[in-house]
Amino acid sequence: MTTTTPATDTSATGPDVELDILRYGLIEVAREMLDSLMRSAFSPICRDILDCTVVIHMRTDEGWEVAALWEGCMQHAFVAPHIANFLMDDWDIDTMQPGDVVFTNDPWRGSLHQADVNLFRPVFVNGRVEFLLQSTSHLVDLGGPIPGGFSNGAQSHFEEQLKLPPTLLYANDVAVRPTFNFLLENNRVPHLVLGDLRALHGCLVVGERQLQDLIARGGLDDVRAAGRYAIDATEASMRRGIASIPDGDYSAEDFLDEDGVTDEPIPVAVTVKVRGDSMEIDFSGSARQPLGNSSTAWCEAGRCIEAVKLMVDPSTPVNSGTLKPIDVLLPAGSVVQTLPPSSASSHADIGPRVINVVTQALGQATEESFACDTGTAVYIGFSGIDTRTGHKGTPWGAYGLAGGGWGGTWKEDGVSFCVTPIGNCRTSVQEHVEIESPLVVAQHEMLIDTAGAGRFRGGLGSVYTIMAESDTLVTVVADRLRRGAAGANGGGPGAPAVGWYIAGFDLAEHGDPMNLRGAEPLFGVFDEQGRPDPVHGEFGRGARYTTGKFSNLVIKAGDAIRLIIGGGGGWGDPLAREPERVRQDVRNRLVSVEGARLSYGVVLANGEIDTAATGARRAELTAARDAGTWEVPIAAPLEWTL
Amino acid sequence: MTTHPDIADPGVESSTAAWVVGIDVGGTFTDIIALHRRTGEVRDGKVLSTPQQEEGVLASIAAVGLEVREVAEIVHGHTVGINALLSRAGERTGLIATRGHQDLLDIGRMHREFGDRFYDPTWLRPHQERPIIPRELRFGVLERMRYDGSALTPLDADSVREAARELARQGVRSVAVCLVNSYTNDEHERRAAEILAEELPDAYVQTSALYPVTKEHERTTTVALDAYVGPRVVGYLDRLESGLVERGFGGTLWIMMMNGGVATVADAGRAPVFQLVSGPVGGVSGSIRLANEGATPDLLTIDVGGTSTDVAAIRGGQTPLTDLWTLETGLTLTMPLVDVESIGSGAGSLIRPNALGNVAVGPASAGSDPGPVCYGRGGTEPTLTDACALLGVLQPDLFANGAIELDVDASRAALERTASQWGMSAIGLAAAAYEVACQDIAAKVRTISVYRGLDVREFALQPSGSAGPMLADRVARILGVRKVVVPRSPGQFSALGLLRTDLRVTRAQSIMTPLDPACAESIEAAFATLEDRVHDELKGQGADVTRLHFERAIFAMYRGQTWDNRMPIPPASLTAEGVQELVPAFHAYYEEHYGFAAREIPVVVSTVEVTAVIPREQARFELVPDEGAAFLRTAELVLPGAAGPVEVGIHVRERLAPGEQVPGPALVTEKFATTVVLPGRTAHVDDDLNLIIEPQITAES
Amino acid sequence: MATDRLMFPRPQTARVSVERTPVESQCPSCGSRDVARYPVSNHLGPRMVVKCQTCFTRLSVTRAEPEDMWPAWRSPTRDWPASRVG
Ligand SMILES: [Zn+2]
Repeated sequence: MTTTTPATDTSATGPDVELDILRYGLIEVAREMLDSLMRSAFSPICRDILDCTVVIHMRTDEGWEVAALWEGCMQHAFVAPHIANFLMDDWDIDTMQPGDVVFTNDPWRGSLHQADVNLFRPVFVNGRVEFLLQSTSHLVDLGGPIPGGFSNGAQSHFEEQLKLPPTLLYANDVAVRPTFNFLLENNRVPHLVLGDLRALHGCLVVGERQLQDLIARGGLDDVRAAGRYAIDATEASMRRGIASIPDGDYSAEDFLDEDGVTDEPIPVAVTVKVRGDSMEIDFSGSARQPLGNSSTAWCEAGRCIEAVKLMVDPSTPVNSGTLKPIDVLLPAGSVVQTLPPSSASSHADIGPRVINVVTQALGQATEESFACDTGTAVYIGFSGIDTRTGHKGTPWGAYGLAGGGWGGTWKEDGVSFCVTPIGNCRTSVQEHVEIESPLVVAQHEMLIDTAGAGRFRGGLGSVYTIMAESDTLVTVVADRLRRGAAGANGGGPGAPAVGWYIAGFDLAEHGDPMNLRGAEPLFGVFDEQGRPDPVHGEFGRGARYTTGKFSNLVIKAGDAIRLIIGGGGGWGDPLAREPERVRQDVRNRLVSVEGARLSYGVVLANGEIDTAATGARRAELTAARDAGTWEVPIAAPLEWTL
Repeated sequence: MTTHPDIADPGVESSTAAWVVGIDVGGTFTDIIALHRRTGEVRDGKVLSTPQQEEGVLASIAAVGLEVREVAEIVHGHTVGINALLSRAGERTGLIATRGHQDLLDIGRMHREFGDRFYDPTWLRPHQERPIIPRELRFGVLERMRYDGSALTPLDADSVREAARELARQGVRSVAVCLVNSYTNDEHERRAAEILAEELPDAYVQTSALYPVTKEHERTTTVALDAYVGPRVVGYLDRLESGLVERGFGGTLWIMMMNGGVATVADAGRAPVFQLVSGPVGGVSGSIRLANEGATPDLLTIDVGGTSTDVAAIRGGQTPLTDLWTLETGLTLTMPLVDVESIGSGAGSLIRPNALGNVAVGPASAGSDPGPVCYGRGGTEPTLTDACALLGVLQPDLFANGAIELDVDASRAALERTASQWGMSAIGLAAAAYEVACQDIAAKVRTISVYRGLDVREFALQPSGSAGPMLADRVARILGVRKVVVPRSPGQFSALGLLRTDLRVTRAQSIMTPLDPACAESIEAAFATLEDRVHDELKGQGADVTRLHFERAIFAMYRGQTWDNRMPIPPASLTAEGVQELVPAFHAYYEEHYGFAAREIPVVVSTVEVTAVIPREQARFELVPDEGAAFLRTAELVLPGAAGPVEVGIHVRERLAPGEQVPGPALVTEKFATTVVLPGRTAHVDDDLNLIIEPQITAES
Repeated sequence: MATDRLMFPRPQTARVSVERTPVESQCPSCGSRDVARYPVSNHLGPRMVVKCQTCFTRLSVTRAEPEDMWPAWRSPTRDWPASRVG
């Protein structure tokens, strides 16, 4: 019945299994922390939008390494390792006591921008700090001249939000009153910020409880070994992925539209050098830091690595091992490493651009590539004082994110309703937003003809319309206004972003986003009649702004703002897309009949494919492309009503 | 739908029909347990599940030698809804949404899927890849409610009518209606449903009324999933009832619901979506009974099936609930449902390398066709069952009551082929696979226990499913759990659980009212309204409402939050004093769970929930061991941690009497399961014929 | 001086680059003499590396010297003794 085998054989998976359980245990501690944070937070940013992350840093001979984390937001995973090391460079570990929490939101110590705050709590084992637990989240407000964290127009960080170097927030789990006073007295929505700070601290308390349990069960040495195992396994997987890319130097360049202060485009250049299983990502040749707030101080050092992860190692858990095979070169004084005292609050466009440009560079090296995502969040921040009955006088703040599309990939269409890969933002619960804020989310839907055309098209863009019931102050951060997300392998670009102001919003009157009656252009490329037209139109024609980065716009009660966020770029030749898939997209109102003809060469009559006409049209477009007289058009909705 | 004038109450005896049966339809088998009310005689059986599930159900009754007319009550769990959903074979369904919000299903709250595909650029949100309701069948109608229930834009009946006619043209036979803010005023939804009924008289129409709580996306998902599976489930229950009545059934058919209770067919048909996965819930229901009867109120359950394992943590004999029951990322049900989690490791799981190149068991599975290699039905890739056959854990002649003679040589050959990539032997790979499966299941158990703050050392591990008992002792060892409780008929445990489940009907309403003594009256009024409604509904269904009692819960949070917390409260009428006491209880709960309390911030009751309960009278089971000596023979097998083969005793479970002991290492085989007792452990039989495995008591200890 | 690395002018050129300073050395892995020293960010933060430019073997990874100005800014109190609150 049984055969005799060497004893060692049955334990072939032995030691790894034990470590793997503890490794998994560390990840579960992080998951539990994030769950606690999300469920107990007060602002929509943390509890709904999930712009928050928790991290377990492990003390090593070299410094602090991330052993496990749980993302709300992807970018936090890549910037957290540096923040911990910057923080501990500046904090005497011998002065730390159990229950201490140190706070920082300094962009020059790795924070994404001042609005993203970081709390660190030492975990003592036998009297020695062995781990640091970190919770991080965007806060609704932190003072400064512009609510919400994106200080459009600011040219120095003195004009932006409060910026705290490492500062004690709790001493032995007792709130440090001067720190809280400072944060809350300089704040527009102190009740929300206090609530979120409590949740950020509470999840560290929960996390320490869980981690101490794990250590009690597994022993410190084994838990540390498991952390090391996690980092090594992730590093090995990342290196296998890098090694699969042929050695070489791959360069690409993309750009930000402008900085909201001048009209100049801001080039972002990269050379990705692959040598065996190691890589360098060198941003030499990128623009110097712009005058406006569109650059970042340090975070791109980690954030750009997410692009590599997306391309070569999507499935392992992120930890310090993800970063280890890669050195990043950030030119001092560049758009990816701005020097103080410049402004640095608008990280939400440079971040995606950095990821776009690295994936474009690596896309030259592999067939398994993907087109650019929307590349901008078309972020909108709202704030004001409520005037509704029962809410009068209450200060409030809220955020809107419409999503956008990811690019088509080598094997499938891109996903729709998905923010740029720096984030992983959820929508706010609209029914809760409408209780708490004098806002009505009037529209949040995909918009026809916004996806970059391709054999595999991009995810769709969407339309987002918010009506104000009290006067509302708005900040918008949008890029890619002139040309949408780039396609790949012959795919076309996605639609660019557009914005309007609608006075006297009425769903019956303005419920169709393709109907432009009563819509005043805020920004975008428009034709002479005011239709958005990225191909033949003129940027800023008839529009209130010549940038997508502006603050202090007031939506009067009863009025609305409408934004279009473009879709992802297409991958591969749209003339090679299966006609049946185009027909399905037309049925589902994702592509118009005219869009099918123009971008895909598919001719539909009464909902059916006209095979002969499609063949002829595709031949015609192919010939025109060969002759240099046709290229895949930038995606754009076509059937506007004036 | 067929109705019965003589709908019985749970546990009330009919003169002609004396049998109560639990029938659980699984992916491979339909399990049945029958209990004679007077004699306590128990019969169990297993038949192959059939595509038309009612056929297997009727066959299972015959398989235990019963005529349908002898059956007084059937308690039933099925997979019609979940199968329709997973294979996207539900009804062609339309969605009526608020204008501007037709894409809520695709948005899926917009976030990505946590886990292995979080960073995968090729990931598609499940509803975008495989829609329940395609975009061409989604219509935004002109209407808008505000947060306070006032109409910002009145309902334009013509826009609904137009959409309805288009849906009719498209051949739609089911429609979901979910409008923004309808939880606070359902006038537009009700009117829209009326218009749909006029235009599509034969269609199934569902609205937020099935569970009117906040969160537009989750509510829309719930209504849409219901509309999608509703006609399938209702049709199935109808066919089943007809089939039963044709065969002389005069009793009651109860349906297992995901809230942990059974419902009448009429009530189950009101919101069919809440019976999507009734089988695993039936298992948990059985475990709750076990927890309340035995010495161990805290149980970790592992229900090991062919393709997956369902796990749950029962604390203090209470039903574990989750408020985030998710089918696929972005498809979530709003109602708190029994918290059962699954992992893709089962007896039929394939042994393959994982991403890191290590030995992995599952999630790919050989299923029932072709099944494990040793079944000799064409399977070529080794499964966990093959590993156990080679280890000797599964004895070829004793498997499945002798129904299948396992081909161990075929298992060995298949394992050898797979093992060569690691330079391992077949037996080495079998041992590794057994260990990995146990580790994976233990890890899953840990996520629902250790990582939710439970100290597993206080728990007992309770396996079920035919493959559960062969892994349980090792899983317990990994978890640090000392005690394993193998119930009677573990292979039919879910069916048994069904038999022992109370009627439970849950209703809720969002109210967004401060938890303040001044508001006690309005909170009480909301409870009372729900209770009156459920009472009348159940009475109309013929239930014995004289034995009905209510359970109550509030969902509470601090003002300004979104995530509410379900807190059971006493069933008595809520007074100002009662409310006064709940406030500090909430702060304490908060501090324990979230590491802080915000005592100066008002607490808000977002939702009130009531559950109507009619307890099932617990029948006596006849517990008589079979005649004969329990010890059968010895065999050599490879056990975890052992260097080589060890000699173990094989015992027949059915012959073990209360008080009998089986020292480990041992195998205890029974009709549909095999229990492994590891070295250093002893199994003994308790008065209810449960097999309890605990550390061996030796002289030194 | 404690406060000398807090504020910096905007670069004069429209585009900026990282300088790699050649180092007289030979790669222990591949034997190449194309070795350079330059500032990078690794998994811990800012570091100076001496690296083979042919195969990216790191000959050394060190903290920056003051004259490396890497990164340019630094805490004005970095060498001060710490109080209980930082
Ligand atoms: Zn070299």
